[in-house]
Amino acid sequence: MTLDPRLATTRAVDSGWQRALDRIPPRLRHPGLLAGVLFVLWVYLAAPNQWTYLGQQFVAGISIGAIAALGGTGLVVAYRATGVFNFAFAGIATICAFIMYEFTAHQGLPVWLSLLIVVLLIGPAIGALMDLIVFRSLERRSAGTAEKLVANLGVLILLLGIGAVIYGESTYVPKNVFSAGQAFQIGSGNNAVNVSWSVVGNVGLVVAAAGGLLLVFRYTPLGRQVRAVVDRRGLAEMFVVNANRISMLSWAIGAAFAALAGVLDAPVVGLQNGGLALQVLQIIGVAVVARLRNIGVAVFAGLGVGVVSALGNALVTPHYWSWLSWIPSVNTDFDVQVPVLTTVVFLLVYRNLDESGSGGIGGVVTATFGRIGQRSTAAKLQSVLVVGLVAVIAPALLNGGNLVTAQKVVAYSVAFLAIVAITGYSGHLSLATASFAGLGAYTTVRLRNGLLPLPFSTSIPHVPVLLAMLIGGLVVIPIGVLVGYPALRRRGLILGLITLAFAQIVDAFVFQSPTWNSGRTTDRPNLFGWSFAGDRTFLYFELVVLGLILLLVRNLSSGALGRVLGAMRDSERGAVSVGISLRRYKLLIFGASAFIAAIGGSLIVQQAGSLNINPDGPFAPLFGLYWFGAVVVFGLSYRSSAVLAAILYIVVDTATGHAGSSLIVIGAIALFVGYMPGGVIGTVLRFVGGDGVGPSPAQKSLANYALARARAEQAPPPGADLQPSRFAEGLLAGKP
Amino acid sequence: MSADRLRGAVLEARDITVTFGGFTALRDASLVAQPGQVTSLIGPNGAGKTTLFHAISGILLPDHGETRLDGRSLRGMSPDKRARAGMARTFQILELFTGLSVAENLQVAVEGRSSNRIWRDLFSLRHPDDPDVLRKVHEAMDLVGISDLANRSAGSLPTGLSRLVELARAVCTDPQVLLLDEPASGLSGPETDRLHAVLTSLADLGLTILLVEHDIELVMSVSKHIYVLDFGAMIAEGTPAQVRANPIVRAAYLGAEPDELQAVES
Repeated sequence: MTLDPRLATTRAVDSGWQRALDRIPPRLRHPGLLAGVLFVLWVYLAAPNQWTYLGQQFVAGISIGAIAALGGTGLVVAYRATGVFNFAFAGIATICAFIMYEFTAHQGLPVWLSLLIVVLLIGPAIGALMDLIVFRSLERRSAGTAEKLVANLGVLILLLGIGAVIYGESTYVPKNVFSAGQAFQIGSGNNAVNVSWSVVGNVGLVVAAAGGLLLVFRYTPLGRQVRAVVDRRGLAEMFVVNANRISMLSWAIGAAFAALAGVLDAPVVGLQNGGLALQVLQIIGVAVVARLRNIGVAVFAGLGVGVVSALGNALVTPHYWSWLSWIPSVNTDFDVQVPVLTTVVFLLVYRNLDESGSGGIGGVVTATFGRIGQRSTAAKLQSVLVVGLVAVIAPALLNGGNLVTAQKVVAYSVAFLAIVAITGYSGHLSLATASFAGLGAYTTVRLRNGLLPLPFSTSIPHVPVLLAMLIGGLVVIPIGVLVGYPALRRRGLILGLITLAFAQIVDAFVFQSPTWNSGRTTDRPNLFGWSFAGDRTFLYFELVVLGLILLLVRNLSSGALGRVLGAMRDSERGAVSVGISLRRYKLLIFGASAFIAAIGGSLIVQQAGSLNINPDGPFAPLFGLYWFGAVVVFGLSYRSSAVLAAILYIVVDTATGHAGSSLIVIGAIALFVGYMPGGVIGTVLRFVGGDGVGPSPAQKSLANYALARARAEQAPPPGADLQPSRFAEGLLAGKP
Repeated sequence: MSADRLRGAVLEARDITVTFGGFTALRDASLVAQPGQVTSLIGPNGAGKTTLFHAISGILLPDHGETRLDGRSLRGMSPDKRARAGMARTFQILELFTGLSVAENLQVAVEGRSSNRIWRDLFSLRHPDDPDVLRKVHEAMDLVGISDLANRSAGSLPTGLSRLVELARAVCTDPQVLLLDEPASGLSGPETDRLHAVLTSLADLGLTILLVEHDIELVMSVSKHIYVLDFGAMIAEGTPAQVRANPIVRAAYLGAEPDELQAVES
């Protein structure tokens, strides 16, 4: 019997690897560092005689990595101090890059002055405003993580919507912040490696900014206060820490870093609204490596990711490893692929992040009244009849542009139902619905053009569209199940990040890969010689598909299956305690949701006629966030919200003539979803029908009105019961 | 409830040790709960009672030690498999399905274990309630005394009633063993009396009941056997009278609240 019980539980260490690992000092035992060292060894073995070239790439990687380090640091700071993962940083970075562009290109301000204004004034101001308008009141209401997350997504969508409306899809070329001229050389003669001022500047900024932050956090009273507020806000306030000031400061610092990353990144990757935001979103990987906690690790992860990407490109571009090129998609763009892969690998390696208040997305979904107040069969039949009648008559009344808009609305409704199923019914945060839809669309067009949905140009017979759509849906099911596997043990933010990373992977490895992207057009379906090519007939076809999918989604929410999914959503512990196998139902719902999204995606591409895989195309990673936001604002657990979200998403853009204007509306509403549990529909239903406990506000005011009227009718006319005063009697009698 | 469905099983926890980082929450904790009686687990706050429950029900993986049900080891079994093997539990921090009604909470417990309705529900137009399931649900609600709550939203109930719903939900899984984590906290006086009666009748029907509870009066009156946990280790066990007389227990636990102890003794 050992004295210390912990010793008894330690497993015998006898493997050589384990012993070798144990020799490394604990502080250096970071998996990221180990991976980096292995990579450098690999590079050394692969290209031993190319030091100058590799050195040049290394320096370039450091420069790009410095930007990622800055962005990652900003994410970690905001997360540490506020407990909210700042998705909006990509939006802040984009908007600030545009403002910088306006200052330098149109207002003629010098670069240094613009940089100071944007990074020290405008960025922090956006952060402070976010705190003032949105997060402070959410914090006061002790809102859950999910509500804050949605509000934060709202900020992202709002900012990118504003960017889209003002700047459209064009790419601008901003001025470099630091000169590209040579600052100094390392080595001499043929072996010299040039270091430009931009490298010096970027690295200098990282060292100054991140180092300064570390010092502040570690050694100043302010740092202690920040940590106190993060741990226990209420408690910290009792000890005279001004929590409001601290969290506003943290948002401001986080936003300043985001601004800096955006301003530095824009000249490198090009300034385009969605494109830059997508680039900046890759920085999430850096924050993930740091477990959303450690600024030092974030800095090194940023530099490491930059170096690995640059060296990877260097190795592939001159085809040192031409043997690698048979692997599809690998030899394209490491700048994108390395950060995205880093994100996924680390999210999978870490079972959980340093999440504050992790968990499901209860606060946003809550819609108890929807299930409890079961309507009668007659009422249900009535509404089904009304909806059916509208579906039959409406297309006959539409024409021209309206018909096209209606087609889009129906296609997107189908795709949005996937979000209702996965998040509304089973409580899993999935930001990749647009990518599943994209994969469905991709499969459809490839099969339609006689190609397999694989990176080979093997010819197969051309598949009819209808069959291609169905196969597309079925092919995506196993992919959905695969993405669902991490969800067996993860929920909330980390699952959201995994699905977002999956979206980025699909984009980087499938949509952007030259080996995958031939054969992108499709026509409209055709059944037994009956063509649905006409705009009106195609709309009817879409409506039939929508009806079938609605039926499927309804089945996911009713009967024993619906109860089990609801149970899983509300409490996983409770669900397993009554013997429900989470694995079976989680994989089922991920597969079903992927299928629905793929069918929706197929409809979207059939409507458009060809697949657009640009950063502003309908299936780019950011669109998964937009779609989620659109459904959240109407209420995640209602089927009707998918349709309403599609109407808002499509019609606002069409009506205003500005792509992205719907995002402004969606983003603005999403900021305040925390105040509307169950979204717009949930709030309206609660107002009209009550929450299952007492009468609703509407019922109350109706009852009060009826009561007041009844009293008024019974009561004598006003003043009838008044007795004239003696003075008045005197007046009436004509006495003085 | 027909008596044949309430066959209890011997629950055995053997040498369970759980550590969180450097902190040892449980150290070689063992207990046996026999069918047909209430066995209680008491101890001060933070003694490790809920941790032991989590380890027994499979939510937590112990560093070593195992749980046995009628002599069969449950090692490596996930919590849902343990539930299907006949182990039901309630939670100290409520884990109700707040988006469902009370009756639906219980329905899930009856139906959730088998998956033969998944495909039928996924592809059929109608989803009628199974009358056998509904009968079971109503029996359980009657037993616990919450029949009038059937259509209330589980999320709208006060804590005391929620605990009763959790108890009824656990009963609905046809358990052999019931693990109850502080079922009386938040209950009013009459509700506690009702709980006492329910526990006694469930035990009389043959179930194995393991109870964690701070209400000493309830524990002393309802239990046949009591285990006392302190700082993660079992410090005593015995009949209520033996435990009450044990000086170590008095020092560790009951001694902390002498008024309560006297109230029980008098």
